[in-house]
Amino acid sequence: MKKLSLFIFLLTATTLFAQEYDFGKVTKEELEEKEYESDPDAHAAILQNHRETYLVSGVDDWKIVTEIYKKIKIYDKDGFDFATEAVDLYKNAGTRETIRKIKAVTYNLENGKVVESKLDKDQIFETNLAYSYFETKFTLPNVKAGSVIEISYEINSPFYTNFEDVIYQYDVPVKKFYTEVRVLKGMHYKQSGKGEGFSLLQTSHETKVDHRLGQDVDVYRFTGENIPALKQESYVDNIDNYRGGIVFELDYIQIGTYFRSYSQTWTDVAQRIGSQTDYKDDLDKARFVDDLVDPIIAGTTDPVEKMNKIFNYVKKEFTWNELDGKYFYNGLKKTVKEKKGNSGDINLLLIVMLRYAGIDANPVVISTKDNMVPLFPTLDRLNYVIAHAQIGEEEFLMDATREFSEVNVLPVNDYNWQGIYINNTKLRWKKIPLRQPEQSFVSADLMFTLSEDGSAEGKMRKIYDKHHAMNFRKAFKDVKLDDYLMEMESDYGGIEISDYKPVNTDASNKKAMESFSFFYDEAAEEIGGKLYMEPLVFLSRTESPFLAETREYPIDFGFPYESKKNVIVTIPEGYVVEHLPQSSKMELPDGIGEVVYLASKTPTGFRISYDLKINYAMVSQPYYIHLKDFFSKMVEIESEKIILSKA
Amino acid sequence: MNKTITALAIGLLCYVVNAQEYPVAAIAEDLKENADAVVRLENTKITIQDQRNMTVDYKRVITVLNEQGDYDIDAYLYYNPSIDIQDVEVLILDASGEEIEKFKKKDLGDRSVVSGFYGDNRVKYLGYTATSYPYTVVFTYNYETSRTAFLDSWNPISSYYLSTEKSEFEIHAPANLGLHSKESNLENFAYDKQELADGYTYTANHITAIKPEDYCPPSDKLFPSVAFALTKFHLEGVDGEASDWATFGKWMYDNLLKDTYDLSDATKAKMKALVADKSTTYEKAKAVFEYVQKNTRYISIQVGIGGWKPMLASEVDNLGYGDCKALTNYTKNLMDAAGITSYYTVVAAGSEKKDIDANFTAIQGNHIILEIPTEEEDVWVDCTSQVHPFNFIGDFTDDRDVLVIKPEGGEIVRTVAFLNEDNWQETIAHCKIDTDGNLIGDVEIKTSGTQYDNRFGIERIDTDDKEKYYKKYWDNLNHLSLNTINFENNKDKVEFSEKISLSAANYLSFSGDMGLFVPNAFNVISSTPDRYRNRTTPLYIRRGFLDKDTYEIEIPTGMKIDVLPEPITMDKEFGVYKMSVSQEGQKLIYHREYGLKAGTYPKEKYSEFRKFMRAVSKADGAKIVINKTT
Repeated sequence: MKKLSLFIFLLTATTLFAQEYDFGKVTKEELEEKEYESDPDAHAAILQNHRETYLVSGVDDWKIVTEIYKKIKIYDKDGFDFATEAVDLYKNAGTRETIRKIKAVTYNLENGKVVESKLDKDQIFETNLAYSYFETKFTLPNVKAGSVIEISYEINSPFYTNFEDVIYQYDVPVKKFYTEVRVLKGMHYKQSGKGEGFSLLQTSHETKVDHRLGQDVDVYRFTGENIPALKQESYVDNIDNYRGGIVFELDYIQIGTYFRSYSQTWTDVAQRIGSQTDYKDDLDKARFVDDLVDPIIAGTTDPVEKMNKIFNYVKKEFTWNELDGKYFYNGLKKTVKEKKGNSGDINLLLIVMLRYAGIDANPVVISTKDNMVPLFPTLDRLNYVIAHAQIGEEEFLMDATREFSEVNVLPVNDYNWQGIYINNTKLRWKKIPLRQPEQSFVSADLMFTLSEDGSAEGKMRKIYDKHHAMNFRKAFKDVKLDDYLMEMESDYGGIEISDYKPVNTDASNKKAMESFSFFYDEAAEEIGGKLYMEPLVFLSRTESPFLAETREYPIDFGFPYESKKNVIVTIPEGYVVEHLPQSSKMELPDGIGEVVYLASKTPTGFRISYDLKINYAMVSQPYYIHLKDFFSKMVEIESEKIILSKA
Repeated sequence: MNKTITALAIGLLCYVVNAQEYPVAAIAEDLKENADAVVRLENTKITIQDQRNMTVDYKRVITVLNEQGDYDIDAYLYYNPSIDIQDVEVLILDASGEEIEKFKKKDLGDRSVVSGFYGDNRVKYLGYTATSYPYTVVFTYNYETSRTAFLDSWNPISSYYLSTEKSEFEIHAPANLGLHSKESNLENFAYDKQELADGYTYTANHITAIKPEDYCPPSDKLFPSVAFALTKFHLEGVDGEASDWATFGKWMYDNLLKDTYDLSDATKAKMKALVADKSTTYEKAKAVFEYVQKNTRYISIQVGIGGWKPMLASEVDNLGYGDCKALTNYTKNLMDAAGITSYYTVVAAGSEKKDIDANFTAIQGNHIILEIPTEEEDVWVDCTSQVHPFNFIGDFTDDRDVLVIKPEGGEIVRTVAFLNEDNWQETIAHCKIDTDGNLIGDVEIKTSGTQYDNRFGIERIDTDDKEKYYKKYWDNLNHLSLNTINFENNKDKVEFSEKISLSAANYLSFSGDMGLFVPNAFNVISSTPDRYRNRTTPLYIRRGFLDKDTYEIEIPTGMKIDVLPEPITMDKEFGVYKMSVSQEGQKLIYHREYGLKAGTYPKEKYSEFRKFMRAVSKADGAKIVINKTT
């Protein structure tokens, strides 16, 4: 590759195009500016962000040079963080990225005059962070509210096939944005814009001759103005999915008769992964798992049962080292020996074991939620692998890294867009959707007797299924039983719990359950001889999760769910139900969800039931206003009191 | 040949015997109770050869019982250029005590630990994923250092949910270096102490695990520990001497501060001009402090002696930034130029009050503030804050013993205190409930003292975040909309005022013809501290405060009051609560007063305190019933 690249890439001169910025040109108006016009809350603004990326020939190889220039206005003290620049650089055993030509100046207005303070070279610090990363960091001198700063530097990277993403949206607004990328004609990069602001960018492309070399270069330019700051919100899958940027990936090179493809379609991507040794030979040649599998499936004939047994075995016996990966980290042998590994080690081992048991098992390569959605067919953006099994017509997905995941109930982080199914044996590669899991179920049944003093004594039972079960099992295991109960007592308004019985807290593919007796001394409130009680007692929703007036991004619930609550109350002797809320039903548009409340009198008191369904894991932003209203009305309904009076 | 084999065999034998020294089965049952991990052995040996040479040998064997116990392994070795690591190693043993993995120095992780902007401290650490529990980690290291200014202390209990089989500590120093110690919380703790000719040994065995409790004292007031220091020590190329605080302060002034006061004549002249028209020291000092707030920011760079010695004042003047030492020292130099006396002051900062111990001379504290004596009072300022008012240090450094450095020596002095009623909040509301049940009105919240400190930052957050803040603060109000929000920050009086005009839909909840609402709309306590069958620690209230609330609420026309809550008055040694509602036609006047008093109370008081808090949360939720007039 190294030799070849010398042949392919040719120098593109750095001076080919005029630079559009002028270091040192800071105006009085900029210094006098008190706030950013379209966003007065902004603590700082990037007045100009100018960046050029191009290839040059180095001493014995090629490198990517990126020149960066920024002009930043600091409006107030909370914007001071923007006066510190930290650049993370990468190195490996042989070579490293370097930063050079650092120049930084602060401008202040003092008595009507522009005063400059330059960055001193001995105020630039380099830190060896850990592993292969180090950081160059500096902060500008004399920064005050109102200062304007200029920063410029150049990064040289020998890792020339990696084009870093161009980010044009920040946590503060950007007034002027310009990026230029120059590559030799014949090198084809896929480019994709992401985030809302992309429509604000103007793009242009031209092919120019580098006269000095007599070679053509492709020039891509991106310009933008007044790009708003990225808003932060809760319940977002991954904020970086929405941050404005341009993603580059080398697609193919065609220069003269030379042709090399890097990735084109998802099938290409799948075949490329499939042809890696981790996926090709290793998955079938691992004879050492035989002794492992035999005892697990001894006496089992049903293939689904075999699969469940092997999956449970891998989950239980192998520990995930918390590292993602679509390839091996330890390799199968070491994984089996040390009983731990990354997602590649564990899930590929699972596939190997399933195959040995005669099951048609294959890898599905994915990009997890925290790794962003891949914008076009690409290998680099996929970061994780899970297992797929086909038994007859039925398909199953498994991720054995997490102790409490189940067949077809994957960790929430796995449900992101779609996966690439790689079946080398049958030569089949395809995309399979991974949009959302099946609806998860949780219920709470409450049965109690109310006393005249407002206290209640009774029993409660909770049942969890699928993702709810997974979350419950994890929460249950993570803390000591005493603390778990104490936490639950205080979550439920200070009830006192006894006879606690958990069921199936370890077993998966089964519903988990907990039941207990409780005493609650504030179930009802006595006011003027009457008793007032909330319909769902301590299970009431006291606050809507959606308080903000508006929303920018989709709302991520993680998984669709149904939640049921049943409350059966025996009222004190001599009391009658004076007021019971009306039964009601509310629906969200387009089948997103609904809630049903039922209230009825019984011979000994009354009964309340509640059934909430959210049918989608991810709900798009235009529905926010409906969700906000829906949840807020639920809070209201659940606060309408039941009134009991003396007969 | 034979000899070699025998030696090898003996070596192996020793190894096997050694390796099985820590089977999990040998742990006593009561040490597993409430424990996530059990320290089998912790052994620290500190040998000080002379003022500039010290060797530390350390071994920690810990059995991890469950996942939470992973956090107790503590296999970290912090180092910097003045620490020369001779050896560091980690062994992982399985439940039977057999070695399953070994990490040598090169196998350990290594990364930079920077608490501020830049520094030269690093850490070696263990990156290990456990595959099954329990397992045991043997962590050993030894290093040599010239830094004798800091000596490790003996902490036989380092954490909650952690028990200990054996903890040993040994320290030796030549008599002329003046080794001294400070014992804390050893009263009800079983241990053995030996005074040696050249030092001490401390040993404790069989320490059961403890659990944290609500409102319990901080661990430094609870956990036993012994700290050590030398009278003659060495720090990053500088010898030091500190037989008492006076000499220690003198050493600091002479070695770390004296030669940093090098402001240019121009800056000095600027300061003179700045205060020329001010008559009192207080006003002059305020002008200088505000100049610093306007022209500097906090950036921490700690390299070598720079971790203790401030940057030159001229350098701060040029750069416009510095850490707490640099900014405070710079301010002192500016004050000098303006003809004001002020003192560089070392403090143990944190919202938890902690004294610089008057009886234990050693480098202590983690922050620097400035003392400015004026005609009326001693003024304290924190030069790292660009937003705090002059003469207000808040709960970060208030009410504690600090070390004031004067050219002639050090002195222990107590900082200004913000006690119970000093930390007040007053909420006044005028509102009405309309016929649809919506609450509409104006609220003003005024705060002072530490409550000012907690709230005055709201003014500077984004509009969206302000909205989120109030929606969270008043999460008892469903459907809250904020119409206008205005602030007034009176820095001279240290009073912050928030004026909010708001509405909350459906505040009145109808049940048929009857309406219910909670008159306490704007300051509700809804949680109660945990219940303990056996309370083991004293009741500890870290900060006192006093809240007063007065709300005027008009009820809808066409409705009349049915039931009003009974007035309540509770007056306890740890707190007060008063609530009453009176009626004037369609108007209700709600009064509430709630305060806690800081202090440590015997553990028997806890259940009374919990009862009090339950009564408070019940009273805060008390409802008023109104009826439609028919």
